[in-house]
Amino acid sequence: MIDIRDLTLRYPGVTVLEVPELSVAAGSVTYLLGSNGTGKTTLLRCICGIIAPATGTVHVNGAPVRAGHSTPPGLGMHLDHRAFDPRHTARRHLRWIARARGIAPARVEELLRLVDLHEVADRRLGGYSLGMLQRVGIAAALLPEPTTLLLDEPLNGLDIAGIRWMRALLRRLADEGVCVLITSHLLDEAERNADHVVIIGEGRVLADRPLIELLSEEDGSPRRLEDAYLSVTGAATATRAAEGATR
Amino acid sequence: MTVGAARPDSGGTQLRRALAAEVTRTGGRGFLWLVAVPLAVVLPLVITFGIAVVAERFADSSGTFRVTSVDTDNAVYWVITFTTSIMMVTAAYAHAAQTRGDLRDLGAFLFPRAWTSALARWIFYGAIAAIVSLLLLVLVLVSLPALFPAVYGGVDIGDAAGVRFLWTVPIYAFAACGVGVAAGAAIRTPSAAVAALLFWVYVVENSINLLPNGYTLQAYAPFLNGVAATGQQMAFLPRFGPDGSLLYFCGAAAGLFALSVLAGTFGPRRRREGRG
Repeated sequence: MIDIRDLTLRYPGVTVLEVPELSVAAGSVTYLLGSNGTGKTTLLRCICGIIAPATGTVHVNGAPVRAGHSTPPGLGMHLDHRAFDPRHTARRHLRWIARARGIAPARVEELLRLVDLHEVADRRLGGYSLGMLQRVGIAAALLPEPTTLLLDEPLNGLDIAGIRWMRALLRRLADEGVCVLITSHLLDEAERNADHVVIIGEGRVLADRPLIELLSEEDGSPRRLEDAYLSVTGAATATRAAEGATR
Repeated sequence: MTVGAARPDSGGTQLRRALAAEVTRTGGRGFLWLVAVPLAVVLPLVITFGIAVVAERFADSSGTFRVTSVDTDNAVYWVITFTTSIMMVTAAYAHAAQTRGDLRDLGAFLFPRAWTSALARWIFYGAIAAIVSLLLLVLVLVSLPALFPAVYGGVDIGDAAGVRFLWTVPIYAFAACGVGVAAGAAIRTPSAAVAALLFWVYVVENSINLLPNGYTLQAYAPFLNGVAATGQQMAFLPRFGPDGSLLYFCGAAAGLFALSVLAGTFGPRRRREGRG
């Protein structure tokens, strides 16, 4: 699971993230939603220990994340489908990551079959389609048999069969107790697959609720996630505008 | 699935894994084994034996040219120069390419302590450079007097100069790869790192004596001191004596490595913004 307390991240002249408290539970699929540039990927990078926050703590699977110290144990991540050497084959890329994390190479073969790339594993990554690269990234994230899994827009580029496969995979992992945190702009997919939804805007958590709650209006009538999302982010925008007007 | 918080990996474990990862990353049909190492072997051999063939021909002829014999201390210059330089710039390119652009986040995740992947690359490329240079030294020092006795008959792997080459050149080559990794860490554009290294080694250090008081500065040139420390015959006296200059070069390599890796670890981040 992921536990964040009092996290702030500032760049000169701007607060990028301000998260007083956020927990992502084990055994669930949590979608992290937000517009472009609102800090979703940056938050994932803080959780991975790639960026050190200015203040606050991040715990993954109970262990504190210390940027520049060690890779959080039990954490798998796929942040960027372009993070590969185009001259390398999928097999070599995954073996490299496995070696770096102290994982036996046999696990690579297992995952190549899982993501259905075993027949093209010796082709160069530079010739892979976006969907195939996403599968390579997902295989890389699953290498350590993660108890916490971070995926940054992994559905981009996947075809219909790939999306269905991903949906089933995430559900199976959550059922096995894995904490899955996934960013996406595909609200229909989130509505179909999420247990929990976190919406962020301008680096702040605007909503952190079970999906089923978000899909209910205050009077109890049902609504789509898209409407809930726009309601939450629209309300935040209106609040900021009002704050600006009173200054 | 694994359950529970495992212990974080120590620096030693990360270094060992980084080394294994680099071996895996560069294995098979890649630039290192298809281009860099073959070039580091073939280029000095072609030049050394090309010169030897021509020199021997002139020595055998009764023409107006007179070819002087070559001693051991001038027989392996091209091995020292090219093998070392090629492996050094290969290390620089590899490190710069792996710590920038799209691979930067993945690299920072896999190798959170920046020094572990940098040191692993130094050890890996340094070991290859040392082994390749040692093999080439033996090959050249044994075959030159046998194949070209008129000019290279005085070359002897067992004399003082030959024995000195056998241990100093591999050390020099190993240390040079540390400079390469340091350049790759400091200048994160691979081609720029390579260009800067070559410019320094072949232009700056050799022409700095043209400046006012340049000779004083040149006396401290690390690569010139390193090459001179191997015992190679050259118009440059090692500033700190043969062994001292080798230590000086190794110290300069270690210092540059430490500075560049520390700067990469604690310096301003070059890519701050997230995507979403």
